[in-house]
Amino acid sequence: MAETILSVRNLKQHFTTGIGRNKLVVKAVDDVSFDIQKGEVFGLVGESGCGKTTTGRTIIKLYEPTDGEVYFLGNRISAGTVGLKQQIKDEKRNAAQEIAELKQAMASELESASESDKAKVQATYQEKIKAVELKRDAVVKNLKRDIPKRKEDTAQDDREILNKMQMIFQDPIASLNPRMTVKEIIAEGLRIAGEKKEKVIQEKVNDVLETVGLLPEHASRYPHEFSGGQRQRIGIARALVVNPEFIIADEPISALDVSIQAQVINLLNDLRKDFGITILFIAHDLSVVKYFADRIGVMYYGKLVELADKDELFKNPLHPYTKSLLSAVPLPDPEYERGRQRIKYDPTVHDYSSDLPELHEIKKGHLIYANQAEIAAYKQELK
Amino acid sequence: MPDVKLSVKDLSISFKTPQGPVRAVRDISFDLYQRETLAIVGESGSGKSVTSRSIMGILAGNATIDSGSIIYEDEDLTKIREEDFHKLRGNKLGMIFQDPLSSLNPIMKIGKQITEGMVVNGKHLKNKIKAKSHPERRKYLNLKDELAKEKEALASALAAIKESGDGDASALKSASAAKQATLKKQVAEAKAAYQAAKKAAKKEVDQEWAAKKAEYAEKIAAVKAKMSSASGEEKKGYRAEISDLKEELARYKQVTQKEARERALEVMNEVGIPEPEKRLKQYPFQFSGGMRQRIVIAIALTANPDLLICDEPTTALDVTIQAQILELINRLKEERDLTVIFITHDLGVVANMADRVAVMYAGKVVEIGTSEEIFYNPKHPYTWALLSSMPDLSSRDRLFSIPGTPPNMLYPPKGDAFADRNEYAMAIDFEEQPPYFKVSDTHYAATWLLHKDAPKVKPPQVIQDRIKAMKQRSKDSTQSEARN
Repeated sequence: MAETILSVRNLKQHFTTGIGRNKLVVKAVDDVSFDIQKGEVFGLVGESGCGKTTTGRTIIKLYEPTDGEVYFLGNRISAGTVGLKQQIKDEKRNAAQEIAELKQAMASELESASESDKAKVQATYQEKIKAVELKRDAVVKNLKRDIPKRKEDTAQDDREILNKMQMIFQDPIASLNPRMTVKEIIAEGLRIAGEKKEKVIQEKVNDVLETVGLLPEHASRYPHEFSGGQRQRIGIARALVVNPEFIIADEPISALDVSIQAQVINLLNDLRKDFGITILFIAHDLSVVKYFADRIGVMYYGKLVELADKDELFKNPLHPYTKSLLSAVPLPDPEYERGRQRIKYDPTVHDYSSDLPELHEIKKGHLIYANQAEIAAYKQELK
Repeated sequence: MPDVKLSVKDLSISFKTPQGPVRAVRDISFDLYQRETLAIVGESGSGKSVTSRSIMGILAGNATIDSGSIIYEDEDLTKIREEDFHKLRGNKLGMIFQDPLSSLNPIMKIGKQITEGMVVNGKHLKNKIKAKSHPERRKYLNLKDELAKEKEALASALAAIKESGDGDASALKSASAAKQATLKKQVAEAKAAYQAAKKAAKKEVDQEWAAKKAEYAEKIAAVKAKMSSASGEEKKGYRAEISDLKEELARYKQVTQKEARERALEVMNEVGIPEPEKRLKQYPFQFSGGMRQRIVIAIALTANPDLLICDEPTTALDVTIQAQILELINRLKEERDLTVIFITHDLGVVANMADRVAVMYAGKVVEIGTSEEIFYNPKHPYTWALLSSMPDLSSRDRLFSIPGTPPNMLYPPKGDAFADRNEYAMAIDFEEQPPYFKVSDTHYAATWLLHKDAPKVKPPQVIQDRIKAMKQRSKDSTQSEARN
């Protein structure tokens, strides 16, 4: 088993707008968990607005998570506290209810009991109530102790670890500062990381430019002097210069032309082979994800609905949303296109009113978000 | 052979820049047949958008059409005036743009945006007058143009004489003056004729309008007479009748707000926007990407176009929404007998939409054919490159990426524009532009590889494999169908 480089546990990212009557909570990411192994490419797909980009941004700490934890290289780099607070509330409420029940039981027993027994009954019930209170206090104390810890972990800014994680953005025009030269753009990360020697910076910038297929003389130019593909290379160079182990690529090719898409994909593929970089690849173009990723996670409205090895996912798509997504991919084959039937996804097919869904491992490495009844049906389908 | 709807002949377009003309489109020719979808594919900067914009007459200010013609309904779109274009653009040609967010006005309600074009174009009486005096106006404007040209020609000839020092300036002047005099006379005559025609048309239309008005006035008076004797509930009904009659009359004159709104609701239903009445009052930011694109399509449809130009309508959308929009365009095409020009760089989308495909590179159409011919029997190395740079669901090898960048069209190359990036390039590719070689009746490719003396080159292995797989797939599916 390969080493786990990134582990996301029950990650939630909710955005709230408005107050009072107008309060609106958008659950952009809602209870998402997955692990990424060292050296693999993990593809995250889904339609726009399903939370894939938010997941990436929360992982790299551009957002503070609402709840859940993110472990990177064994360290907890961010964690949310809302869930803990909720747990404390629940615990308190449960305890209060238990005590109330005990008190009622005591009262009814006291009525029927003889005078002599009254004191005894009272004593036993008092003891029971005391036990419940003690248990509650212990649990709450434990949970409460975790809150500052989580806050501390989220707030800490350990460059040593965080530099190992970098991001490539979707739009190479918007994500490069037009007033900075390529060298300044690439070196910015190095300077923040504490590199002060101009000579070392120059050397590293030149190296990384060569790695991504640009020339050292490009360093003194400005972003607008480059074509779309070259600009995306600059974005990749900026991520690479601090020697990351893990890159989050947020739709790095969807803003590019066909022939340039191939260049960027090939470049990312080379980086992965040469430097063993792990990549979280966020995209909506399934044919590219199929080509590039090892495992694929499918997201729908903040939930991870299916996760599997890419061949497994394309061979045995189980979740209706995955099927619909796969059926929407256009292929360069007119004959096939004419006969292609698009499957429409209707979220109301799931009946989650009583039987609540969970992420289940239905087959080794194939996870699916479903409830017990659906699992049975999917198992049937797998055979 | 189906009817030709639009015919582009030897069209060249360049953009004036401080560095010199950028030749965006170079001598392209193609025919567009009735009720077909023609897809134009190519990299950015290959001239596909410029071509479509020239058909719509919405080229940027620094663009000039150097030569060629675009024939649509016996009129040359490169020659007609802006005012005449208004009529075409409003009624015959529709266009859908790439980015729905930037092609909608962010501070205007959707309803207003959909109805705007209808109301502006819907002055029925004015349009009638214009249509009636159109031939005279045409003649007058053409003559005016001729006169202006003559003056310009004289000025340039005189400048040439002044520079070189030889030639008879005065003789030239007098010859031109005579010509100009006759032209001026003709222009004056044509102008008079035009004005007379306009007056006559106006009179005729006014009469028609007056008659209509009188007719309705009578009807309304009749209803009013009945109303005076009626009471209570009945009166209400009569009032509604009167307002209906008034509306009918108004509609004869122009597209009224009410009519436009009804029509807007109709098209919104047609493009699949739920709750159109509520949606009419919303702003573009309240719509999702797919819905915005539907609005843009609805706006194009209000004009009942018969030629729809889609300029990368799905590039900004994700797969599921893309599939929906493509289905919508295909459905509308069937229902309304549209002819579609579809511009994209996604070959998957092309395979889905197109009847015929034109591949463009550096301002030229390098290969054109039916979509089967382009996908199953591609001949041009650039088509090969495009096809092999796109991963399909079964590709595992390193993707082919086209080396280098497209040529700078400030200095268009002498030979084949793709030669620099082409591994199959021969010496002649750098020297001379290849003509079109015929592959079949519908399939032409501009590459020297098809010349009878050229070495026989097979397409790259990736493509051969892919074609084999595709043929296998279609064989499998027909077999399974036969079994069923």
